[in-house]
Amino acid sequence: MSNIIEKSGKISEASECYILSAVGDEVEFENNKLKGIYHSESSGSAVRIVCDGKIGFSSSTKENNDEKLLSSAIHTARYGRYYDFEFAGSNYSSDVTCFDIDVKNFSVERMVDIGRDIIDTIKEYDPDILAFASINKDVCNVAIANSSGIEKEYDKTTFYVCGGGKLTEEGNFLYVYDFKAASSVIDESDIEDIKKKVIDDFKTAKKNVLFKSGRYSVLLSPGAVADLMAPVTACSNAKSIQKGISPWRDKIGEKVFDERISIYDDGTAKEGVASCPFDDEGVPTSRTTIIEGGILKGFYNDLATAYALKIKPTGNGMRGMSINSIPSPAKTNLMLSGGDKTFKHILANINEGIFIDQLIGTFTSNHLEGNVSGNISLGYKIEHGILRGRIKDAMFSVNVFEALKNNLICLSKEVIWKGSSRFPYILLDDIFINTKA
Amino acid sequence: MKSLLKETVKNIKADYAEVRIEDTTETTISFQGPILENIGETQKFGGNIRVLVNGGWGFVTFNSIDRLDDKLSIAVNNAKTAGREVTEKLSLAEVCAAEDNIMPILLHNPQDVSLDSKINLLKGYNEFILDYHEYIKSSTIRYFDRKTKLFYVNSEGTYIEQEKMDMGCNLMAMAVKGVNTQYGFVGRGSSNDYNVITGLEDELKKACDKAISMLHADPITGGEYTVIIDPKLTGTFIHEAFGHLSEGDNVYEDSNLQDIMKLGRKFGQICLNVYDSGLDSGHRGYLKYDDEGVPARKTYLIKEGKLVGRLHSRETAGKMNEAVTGNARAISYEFPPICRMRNTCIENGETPFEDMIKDIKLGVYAKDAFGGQTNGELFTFTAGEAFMIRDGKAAEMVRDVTLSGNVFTTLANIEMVGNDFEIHDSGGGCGKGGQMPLPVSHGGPHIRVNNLVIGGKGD
Repeated sequence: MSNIIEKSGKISEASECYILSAVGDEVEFENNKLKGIYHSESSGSAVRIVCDGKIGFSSSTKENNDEKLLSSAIHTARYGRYYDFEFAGSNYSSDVTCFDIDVKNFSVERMVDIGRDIIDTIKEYDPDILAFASINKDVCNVAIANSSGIEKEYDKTTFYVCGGGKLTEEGNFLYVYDFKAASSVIDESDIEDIKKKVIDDFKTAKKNVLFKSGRYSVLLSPGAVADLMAPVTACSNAKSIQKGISPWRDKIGEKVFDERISIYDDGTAKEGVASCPFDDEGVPTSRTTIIEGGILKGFYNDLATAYALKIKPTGNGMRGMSINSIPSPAKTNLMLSGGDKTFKHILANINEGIFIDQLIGTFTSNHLEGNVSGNISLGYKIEHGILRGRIKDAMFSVNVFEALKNNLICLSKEVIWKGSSRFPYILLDDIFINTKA
Repeated sequence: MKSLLKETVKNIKADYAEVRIEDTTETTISFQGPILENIGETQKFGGNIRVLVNGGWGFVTFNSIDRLDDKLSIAVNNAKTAGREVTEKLSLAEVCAAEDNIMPILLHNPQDVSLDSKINLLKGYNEFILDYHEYIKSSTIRYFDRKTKLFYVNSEGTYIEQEKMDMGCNLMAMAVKGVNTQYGFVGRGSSNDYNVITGLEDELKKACDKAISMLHADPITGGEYTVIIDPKLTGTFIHEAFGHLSEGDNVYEDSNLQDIMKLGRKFGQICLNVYDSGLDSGHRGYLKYDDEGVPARKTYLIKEGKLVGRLHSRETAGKMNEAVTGNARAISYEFPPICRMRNTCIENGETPFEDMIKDIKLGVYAKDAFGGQTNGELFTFTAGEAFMIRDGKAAEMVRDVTLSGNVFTTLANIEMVGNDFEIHDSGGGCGKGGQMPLPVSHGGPHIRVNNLVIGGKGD
């Protein structure tokens, strides 16, 4: 890496080299049986070079390809973006460990055992279910060097377990799953949670119930809350602030949500699977307060947008685990604070409502407008505090800015990690849910 | 390369094996507002080995072709472990071994166009957007072109060298008024012609006008509606509503679903014909061979309302005792091939648009795709632009139109199929099994569908 920086030093004003290498294994169970075992080894480099004040970019997964890498970057620098910000200057990193040797040493055989256990448990509950499971482990190394003198790297492990099943019958198709992801080995109790959730969902969803379009109390699971948070990440992304398209661009210090809402992006969170010591530009990760007590506090950024907006870099300049992309602002671990009532208590006190566990299609909504609109792909009717049965053909459509300001009843005490997000259950009031006549 | 690959596959002790090497060069250009954000040149080189032993699959992917023997052993060991529990024999559907070397016939190769010209073209579009109107506050422009040299060999004697071209461009205008942000966009893609992205000023003007109009439109009232869908959105609709359901891996080991998806079963009215084809050259879903070396075909899924076909890989076709179709695709060497779509269309019908709209008292005219999703049973898709239909005419513009339906029942609700067929390629792609965005195309004419549920606030 320092080789590239040294070589580029002779022909450029500034340069940066990013190397990502990874080894991964996956065990896949499909339709009740072990289907395949996959292994991947990847390595690639990406270079940003500044010539005549403009940035060129190139990347390659070819070994011993420094000359081509540099010449491509120089070629693209002729037309590239103006270098107004600066590459990272400090060798400081945040105090985060994201490597577990037990993940690295975890055998494929043991991964197969985890999958088989999930499959067997589901099949024992109902042999008609076509069960599936996926167990992944990944070990990667991220290294960055630049002409400002920084040179650092870190090792990271990721362990992922997913289990679920599908049940098909005439006019009815049920697809249920749950998953856990962490930097360390997923332990037995978490796997028990996955199995329990999947079976509970199959039990509750077995029966369909009809309901009328109308206004309801709506309880969203942490998985569904993730959909609700999409406008938050879109509008607090420093790039959309810089472009003048985020509705939050002039609202720092203003109350945008109910005062019980606090939202953080934290690249240093101990249990967060996205945690790492520095971002993909070499900037130390940090905890960024986006919303506190309902008030808009900050935006997550990368070096270019931090410079443009004259704000402190937050260490969110990410490349999406791909060497083909330049860094841009991306969330790390997104966390929403919980409330004071347990999920059990909240559910018990809902006389009539809708429980939404999964939504589909919301990624196409206009998030900058605050819109989240999708089909309730797994949801239930609540009557007298009990989940009566599954609802179908139901659409959920809200403006999140209105809903989290005016329609919030409460947040659950429990906060649950779903991938790199940690959310409570959320209960909203007076939400229109429409369905077929 | 040919001898290396043939030698490697010869040494693999397995029921079936294949090796794939890929060498890709890509140019990307992006603008964010007035800032030229990035010009990049990327080289992606790598390969994989996929092996079948006793019904279990082993797969290894790598960037370096050093120590291929070690990688081979890992693949075989993985396959052996996976195959240990298999009780049923797995036989892949038979195909003839093929030796072929394919060079695409390019109308206008984007890699022959200088970086300078590409940037000037896109810069021109960007300035057009940003200068258009005081409400147009920003833009996003993304362009890529990619040439891939593919080397494929399998243990049955197939050896194919293919060169492929893929290109996509998305031009987006953002209109802002206070806290309201709306989009208009133009998307184009091709597998053989750079010129599909030239001369887009008229389209861009419409996109900008649309974004501005959306600022003043009301969100749609949620409900169940009769909807006329334009050709662009029809493509997304059929992709989500039926394309994914037709992928063989959904059905090949699901006996209940097989009963439901019996060939010959009526799914739609007689005016409905649906196909998926890899043969439409120029479109992003074009391929001569799929990623198992199977020649691509035009596969009918629905003919005159009845189910007649599915989209298979060799494994799913073998299991179901049906013909191969050439639908096994991997987005890159990093993944194994799985059942994917290519160019999925509702075939041209007979009803002119004027006849579709004239007797709708209250409905929706939904246009332009913004994406969609399915969970197997239910699907959604979002319109880029929509209008209420009142008393047989297009009326006021509405926004936030996400439509939803049930895959088993919605096809039967297609009442009319139009006579203005188009195929559309955008700069995006399809996602499945972590492999996204896969280049696909889709198309159709205007169609009229009953009883689509649209999300929104109540009255």
